[in-house]
Amino acid sequence: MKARRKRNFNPEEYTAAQRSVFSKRTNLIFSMLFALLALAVFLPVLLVIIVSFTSESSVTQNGYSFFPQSFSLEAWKYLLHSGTYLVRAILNSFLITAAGTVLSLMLMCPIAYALSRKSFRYRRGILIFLMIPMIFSGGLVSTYMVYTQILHLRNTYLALILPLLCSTWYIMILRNYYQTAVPDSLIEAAMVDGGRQLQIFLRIVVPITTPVTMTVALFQIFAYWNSWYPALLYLDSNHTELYPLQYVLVNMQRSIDMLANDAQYISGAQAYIPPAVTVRMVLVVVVILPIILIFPLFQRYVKNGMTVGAVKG
Amino acid sequence: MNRRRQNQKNRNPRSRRRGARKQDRELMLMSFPALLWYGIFCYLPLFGIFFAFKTFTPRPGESLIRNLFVNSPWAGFRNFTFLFKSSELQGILFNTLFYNLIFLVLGIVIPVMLAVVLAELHSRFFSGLVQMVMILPYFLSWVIVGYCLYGFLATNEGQVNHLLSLFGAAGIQWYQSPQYWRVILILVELWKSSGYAMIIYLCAITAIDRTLYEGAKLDGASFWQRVRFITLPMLRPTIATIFILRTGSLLASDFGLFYQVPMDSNSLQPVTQTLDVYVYKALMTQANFGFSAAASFLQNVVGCILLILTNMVVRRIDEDSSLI
Amino acid sequence: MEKKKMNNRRIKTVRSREISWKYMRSLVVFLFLLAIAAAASCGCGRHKDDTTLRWVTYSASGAAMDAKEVIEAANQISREKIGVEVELEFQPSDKMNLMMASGEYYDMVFTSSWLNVFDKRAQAGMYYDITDLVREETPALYESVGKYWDCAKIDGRIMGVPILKDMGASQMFRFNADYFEGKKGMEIPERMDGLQSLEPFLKAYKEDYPDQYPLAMDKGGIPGYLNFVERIAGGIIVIPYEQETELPQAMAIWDCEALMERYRLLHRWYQAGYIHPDAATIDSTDADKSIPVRFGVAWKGYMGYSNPAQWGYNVKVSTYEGPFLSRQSEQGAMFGICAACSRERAAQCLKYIELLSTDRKFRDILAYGIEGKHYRYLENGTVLQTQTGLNRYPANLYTTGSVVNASVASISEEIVSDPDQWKKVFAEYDTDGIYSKTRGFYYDTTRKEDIIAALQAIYSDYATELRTGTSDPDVVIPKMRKRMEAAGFDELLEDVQNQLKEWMERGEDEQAQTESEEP
Repeated sequence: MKARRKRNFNPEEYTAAQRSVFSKRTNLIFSMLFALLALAVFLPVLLVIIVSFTSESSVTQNGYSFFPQSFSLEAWKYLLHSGTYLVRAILNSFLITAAGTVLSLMLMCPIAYALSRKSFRYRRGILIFLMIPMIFSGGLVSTYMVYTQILHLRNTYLALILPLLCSTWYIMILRNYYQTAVPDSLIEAAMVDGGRQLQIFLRIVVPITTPVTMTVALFQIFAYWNSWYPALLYLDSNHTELYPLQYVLVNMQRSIDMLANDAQYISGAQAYIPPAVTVRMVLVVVVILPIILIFPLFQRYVKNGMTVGAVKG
Repeated sequence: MNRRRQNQKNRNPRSRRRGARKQDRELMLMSFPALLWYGIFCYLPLFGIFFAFKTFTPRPGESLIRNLFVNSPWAGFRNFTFLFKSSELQGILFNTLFYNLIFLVLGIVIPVMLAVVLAELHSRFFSGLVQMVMILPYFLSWVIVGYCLYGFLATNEGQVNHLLSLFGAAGIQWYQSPQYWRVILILVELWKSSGYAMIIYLCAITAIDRTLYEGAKLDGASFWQRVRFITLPMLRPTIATIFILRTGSLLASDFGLFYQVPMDSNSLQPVTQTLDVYVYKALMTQANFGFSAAASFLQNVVGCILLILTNMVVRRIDEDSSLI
Repeated sequence: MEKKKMNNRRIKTVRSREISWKYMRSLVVFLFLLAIAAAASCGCGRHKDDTTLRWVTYSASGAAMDAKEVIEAANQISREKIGVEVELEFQPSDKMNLMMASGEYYDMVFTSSWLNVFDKRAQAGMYYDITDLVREETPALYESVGKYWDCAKIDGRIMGVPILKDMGASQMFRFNADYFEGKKGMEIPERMDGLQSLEPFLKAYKEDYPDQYPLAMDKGGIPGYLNFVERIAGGIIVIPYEQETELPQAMAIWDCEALMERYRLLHRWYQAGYIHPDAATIDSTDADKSIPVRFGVAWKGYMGYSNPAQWGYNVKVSTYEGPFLSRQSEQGAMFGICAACSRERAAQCLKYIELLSTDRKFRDILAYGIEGKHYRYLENGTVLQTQTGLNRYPANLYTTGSVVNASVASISEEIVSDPDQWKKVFAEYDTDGIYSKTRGFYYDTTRKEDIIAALQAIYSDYATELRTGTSDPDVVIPKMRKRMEAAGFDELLEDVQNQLKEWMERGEDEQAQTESEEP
């Protein structure tokens, strides 16, 4: 199969310049426009990054500035300060992200495929079944009760993985993609050959729909990596060994805010108040960093026009 | 419907039906794990809807069912009344619908436009870079967005007022001037969410059979013709899905955008108060889960009706694009 | 050729079967794991064992890094002394509300007038009635709390244990003494008379630095600026401490002249440029060390504000109001014991609280950590936290038990606190404390909760700009009043007044009763 695909799919045929309708000039104009747009979008993010390297006193005196008076690594040092704690948290986050993403793809892709088959008898029923939770939800309290009092998932990794596993939104995106990218004729031919649905799905559909799988995977990765609310709900403070990175960071943020905001209330034998504003920005950069690292990897899989032609030929 | 049509087409209905039944069974089996998840994690907690009609007073350590049915008396519609006590209900509803309708339109038009053009750019590297930059804001929390915006709009230290003073204009007390904030909030929302939506559409574009494009090119179609006759029709199901789903949440609003981004500034309240902000402010000091359950129940019922209506309309126009 | 194709196909199906089997297998494994997890954790039901108490307390930011180690150390001692251990959890406020709302089991919980509201919970019957138990099982604890049991009474029954800490609120200014005393030669007395006495200081600074804002002000307003009145329904209705009428009256914010004057004063200061123009959107001003005048709410002899190393100048503190004592301020921190506890278990909880309230060495562990590692004792008996302590186990005073029974913390070797600070503070409460006349009255909100919610939403549309001086009260408050009246304000006020009247009548009856019992 691999060899066959290689033979039929020749990247040279699909190089961007050839398939694009843009002339060199139009391309240049639009590229410039996009460059401007990207710059405008990036400016606030850049501000965050710069502030994270600014000294706290400079921020309090001059506000957030692209050209701060003095730079400082104090905020970054504060983050590294809680060293060993962070390592464990990063490992936890990796575990949860990996397990969660793989599991959620294993759950969402098959059902999306089933829903993309127009001849599937229960299609409409299942669609309605998936739509209802999108509109009606039991709310926070009842969800919390289900997790803690019925399923007893308090203080387990599962409590961090399960909540984000499926999303009707992504199932719909997967389904639409399958409907557009996989011609019915292809599947019907495979069915005539006696293929079972699961085989057809794994052998034919999955290989030609990597772009959407990767897109959903990417968003799930980010969702798991950035999620901390389940940790707040389902992990108790005496189970710090399960904390994911984001929750540790949120806690760090909260404790700094508490020191900064409530200093007039609490007994403040504190000699050292951490740089609240700049640490906040450091934490944001920590969130953005993995995105910048992972995105190029993901880019390699989302390519145009390699889909149907590759299989048909 | 589909099945019947198929059967009519088919010359040998019996064997066909048997094949269909086998297929149904297999597809059902494939759907089962996800359905199970939905059952446990979405349907089981639905008993929370009861809270909207109960004065929920659980006793610690007692079983859930006892707490729900024995310990908590029915409240009738008493949990809903706080919503209608507000004299500003009209303004609140107007704000909620105003922003949501604008986001509904712009949140589809702009990302689709961006995606369609971006997919044509020659340099793959550049397009990738743009995508990455554009998606970054999606991952900033609203609190951080609020601080960033404050960095731009603060009265004394803000970048914008600095710029204004360079041109000799007087600084503006942004957080006390509601007239600018409808535009600001819309821009902020588009800034934050467009990248994400754009990537969804870009992904959908990759599903389009390239031979269609090649053919169109040979026929001498211009870019706009191609977009009009190939790309947009192929994107229609995705656009329709997003459109229908968003109409289902017309009464819901992003709390962070309307509360944390304007820094809860009192003067801006006339243009930032949406339903969710109102509920939050009303229950800020006393956490009453019965009240919040009632509020979201109301939102959900309205959302459900809207969604069904939109779906019906879409179905009438183009059956394949409808959701259900 | 044909054969080869057939072969190919067979291989393909075999392989795909393998794949699909793999897929199914991993799914089965997943479901199996799910089942195991559900089954395994079913075991941890109500209590681990008979001598371990689940104690849920508050922390805005989760547990300190070394919390586990410290709790372990405390458990060793408490097991030896009273045969009880605790499983101590630090929960943020949102989680705590959720736990209470979902009926989760605990043994002891943090409760107060501002979080996990005591009056509301106790009225709903969530807490154990310890009226008799505390006298029988833990007389020493009963003794130590003394007259402050009053704030834990609901209809005459004791439903919680007040944590002894600063029971009243002294309102303070914190000055940059180097500037005002050193440079300007102004005198900062120990006691100043009211908020307005600050004006000359602000004026002097503003004249020297016209571009700066001398008053520390963030969106929270002056900390405790409402402490001079009793607040009902989140501060929409107030009962001033000092009234001309003989019987205390509940009234709207706009009818409380003292409060209105305060808002006007702040607005005047805002216009004079003493307050930052963006004050209503600023989260915190603590990082800005250049601000010469700050506020504080503390108690007599409190040293926490006076560390020159932290500020870069000498700080001088001056009390301008208070100390105010009300039911609310006394309920600043309390223990609630779960109503579902058995008598034995409730007694164990009380014994544990007693140990915290009477054994200083033991108390210092949960308050400051492990001696030698997190803190050490200075010669005069006060505590000095080490750098490790500050980082890894910052002081958990009022959330982990009696504050008064813990050693007093000093700032550094040079700036030491008075080890007997609390005795003096409580003596001051007895002599100079300003007590609310309606101390002991609590408003039962259950019938009017919807009105309160609607009024809260309206109030929060104006509150921030009022308390920071940003808006003119004479313009804004009439607007607010109109909206509030439309939302049912009068109905609420009437209900409050009725309950207040009832309470006063009941109080007279009780007094008559005790008087008739005494002889």
